[in-house]
Amino acid sequence: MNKKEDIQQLADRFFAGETTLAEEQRLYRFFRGDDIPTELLPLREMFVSLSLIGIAPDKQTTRKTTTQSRLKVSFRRKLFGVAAAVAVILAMSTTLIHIDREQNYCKAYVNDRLVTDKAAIMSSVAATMSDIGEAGQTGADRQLHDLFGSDDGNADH
Amino acid sequence: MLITLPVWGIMYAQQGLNVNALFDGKVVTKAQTQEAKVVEVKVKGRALSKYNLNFYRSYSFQATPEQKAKVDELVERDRQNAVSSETTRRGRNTTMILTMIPDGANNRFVCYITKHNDKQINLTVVYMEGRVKNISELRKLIK
Repeated sequence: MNKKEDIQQLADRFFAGETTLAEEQRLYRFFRGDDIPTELLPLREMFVSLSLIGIAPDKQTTRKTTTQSRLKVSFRRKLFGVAAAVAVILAMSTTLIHIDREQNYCKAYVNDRLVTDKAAIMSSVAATMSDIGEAGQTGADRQLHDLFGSDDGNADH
Repeated sequence: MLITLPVWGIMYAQQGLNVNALFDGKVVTKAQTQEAKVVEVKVKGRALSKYNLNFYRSYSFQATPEQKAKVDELVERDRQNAVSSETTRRGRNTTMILTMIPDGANNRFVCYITKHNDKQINLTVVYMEGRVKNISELRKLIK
């Protein structure tokens, strides 16, 4: 089949709605060229016009795709920003908790066993403090304490 | 960025004290801990605010005569370096309180309490530091 007959066949299929996009592009390229047989010249103007319509939607699609990509990038950047902020907040919180634990603690070892019961530990501290407090009492104070006070000073550890 | 801070061991201005040998396990060995019924207490920060202290460390145990002699010696060495000391005796029990040289704004105190119960000797050594001015003020806060 020669080229003229090939194009004629493609045109017939085009009008029947049977051509693929690639075949339509081929028709458009052919009729945009200069080497068009006389018998097919009447179709030239139509296919050239159609080829322009065919290009415009592609360009719109490209514009839409570019805009969508920009939106995606913009959204991704925002997402990374939020994730980075959350990571910084988590890191700072962890650091602050760590610092607080370093600056405030209450521990005891009883026969090498760790005890963290704050109430029990502070009770032991209070008992020792009571011994220290009582040590400063004068003879008269001490007698009054013996008569009316508590026995905290004799607490065993 | 995590900031690491020291935890246990020699802390603050406790450095340079002879009684540190007791806290470091050089008087009562690890093997003797159970028999001696050792109780160690370490408190730092908020829990001590009522005493106007920021650090408290105590070591209590039932001492053999040899261990008591060692602790007596350590405390006596610190007493030589103390700003002031007071000793109170009540029967066979003794309480010695040493005011050590301050470390900046922190005042430091070492307390040595001995109690005799029948055949047992119970010793308690306490190291404290904080903004409390002196033992008299501390006693007011204890009440």
